[in-house]
Amino acid sequence: MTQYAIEIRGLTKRFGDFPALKGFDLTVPRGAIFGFLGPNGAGKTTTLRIMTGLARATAGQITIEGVRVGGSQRPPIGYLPDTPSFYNWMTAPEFLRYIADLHAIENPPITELLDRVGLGDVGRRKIGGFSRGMKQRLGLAQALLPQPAVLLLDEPASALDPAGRKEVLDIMSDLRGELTIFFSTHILNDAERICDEVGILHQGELLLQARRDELLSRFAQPVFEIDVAPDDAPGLAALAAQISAQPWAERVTQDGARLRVGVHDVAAARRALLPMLADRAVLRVEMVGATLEDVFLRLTNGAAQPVDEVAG
Amino acid sequence: MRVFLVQLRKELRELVRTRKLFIVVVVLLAFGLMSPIFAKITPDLLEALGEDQLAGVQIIIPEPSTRDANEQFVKNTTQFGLLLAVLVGFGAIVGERERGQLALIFPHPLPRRVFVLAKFAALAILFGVALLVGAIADYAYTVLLFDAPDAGGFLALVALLYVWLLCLIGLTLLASALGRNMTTAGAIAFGLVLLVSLVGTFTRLAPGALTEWGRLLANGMDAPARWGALVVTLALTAASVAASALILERQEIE
Repeated sequence: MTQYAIEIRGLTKRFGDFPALKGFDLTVPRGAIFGFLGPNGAGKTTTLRIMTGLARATAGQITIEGVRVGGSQRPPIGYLPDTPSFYNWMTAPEFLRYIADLHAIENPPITELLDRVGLGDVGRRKIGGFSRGMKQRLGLAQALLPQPAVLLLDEPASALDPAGRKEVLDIMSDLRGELTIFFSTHILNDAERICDEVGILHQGELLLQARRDELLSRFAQPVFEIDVAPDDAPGLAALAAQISAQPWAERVTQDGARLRVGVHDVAAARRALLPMLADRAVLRVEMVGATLEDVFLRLTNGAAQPVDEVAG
Repeated sequence: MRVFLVQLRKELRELVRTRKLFIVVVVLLAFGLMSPIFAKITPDLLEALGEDQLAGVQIIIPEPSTRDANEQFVKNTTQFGLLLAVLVGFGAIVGERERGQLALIFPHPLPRRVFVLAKFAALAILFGVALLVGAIADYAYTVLLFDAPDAGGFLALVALLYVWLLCLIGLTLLASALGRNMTTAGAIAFGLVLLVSLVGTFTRLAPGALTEWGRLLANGMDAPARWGALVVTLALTAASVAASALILERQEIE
């Protein structure tokens, strides 16, 4: 058996003439938490649907723990769709018992699992009355029930409020070392928080795959963060345009009353940036490291590096 | 077999919890009870109508009998059985696909053909129970109000009605597998059932011939056997279920 829990070779998927996946390769080391990143429509869900057998690849092959997807044997996976839909007339323990029966698990640890995902107190409540976050956590429990070697999660926290997101990400973090987790997301903070390794998919192509830390250092680019008073925020768009026009600026993004300015030339930026802020109600100017979001935006804006330059 | 039983148990519990079992049983029970009563009171109703509105017109109405009760039972059960079979069955597969439930359960070890077979078996049990309850109620009231029907003939009628209903369930499941959404599945289901009914007007081999055969047997009349229709109906049922499984196997689940 190889060191990889998941091996994807030449994965291609066409919907009519539209190429949803353009023949990419990807490997996920055993035990890793792997973030499969990409904007909406990049092909993440299509990839996961093929990995779970819900859809078929046009070409290419996926092997999970040595078992070929689509073959006679079922790969040892647990899967959580992006918005899991349950039988609303069931209770959570009933649903887990049903899944356990499908897997022929004789004494399923239903109570322990419900406790683990924070649903220990739902009692006999019908699933139809659950909040979205509760359904997501129950979805995690059903995926974990058969004790899979690989957990496949499609946008597990994207549709949740901040508290719900934290709960789901905490559960995923707690699973580190127990199994391989492959999860898709377009929320880069989530990936940055818990991933060991990431792959970035864009328009059906894998732009790169690398360990997270290696990726951040490889693409490290000085970034200046500028916070202004909220009253001054409406004028930031003009300032962003002014900075973007400078030869030393690479990329400028605005988030409310904050500007993030990626630069090529730190010295030139230092000299020029502060005078440009003279008329602004500046609260903070700081040079910070690149985030996964910076790397992602840089790559998906056309500055992609060949995969083999980055892959570890 | 083990997975089939797990899935069948889930389907049967769903029919109970979502009150589909209750609704189908109550409807067929109600029409089972009402069939002999309608047969009994119809002449009185017509007579009353004649007195009020048809002055001068003489209507000769024969004394109602067991045969009239049987005729009412066949008419009511075929009309409402058809309607119920289509309404309860057309969302069975497409509904779960549309709601996203299949995307949650198919990655587990649940073969799609087993899923379809369990759906069919659960609906077959549901309509079997409901038809039996309705038939017992009809038989009991017929005995109370008229002479007892010929037990063998009545049993044959119920069995043939059940085979006919199974065929409708099979066709409706096929529509549910074919439909891209609930609306198209419903339209296909009614279309298939209508098509089979229309074909019945041209040939004695169509499923509809079974209800006629059963009616004659229950009335103790000399009925020409319709074995051909029985074979065709069973084959059509099996083919519909097999085709549903095959279609679902080939589908990509959203």
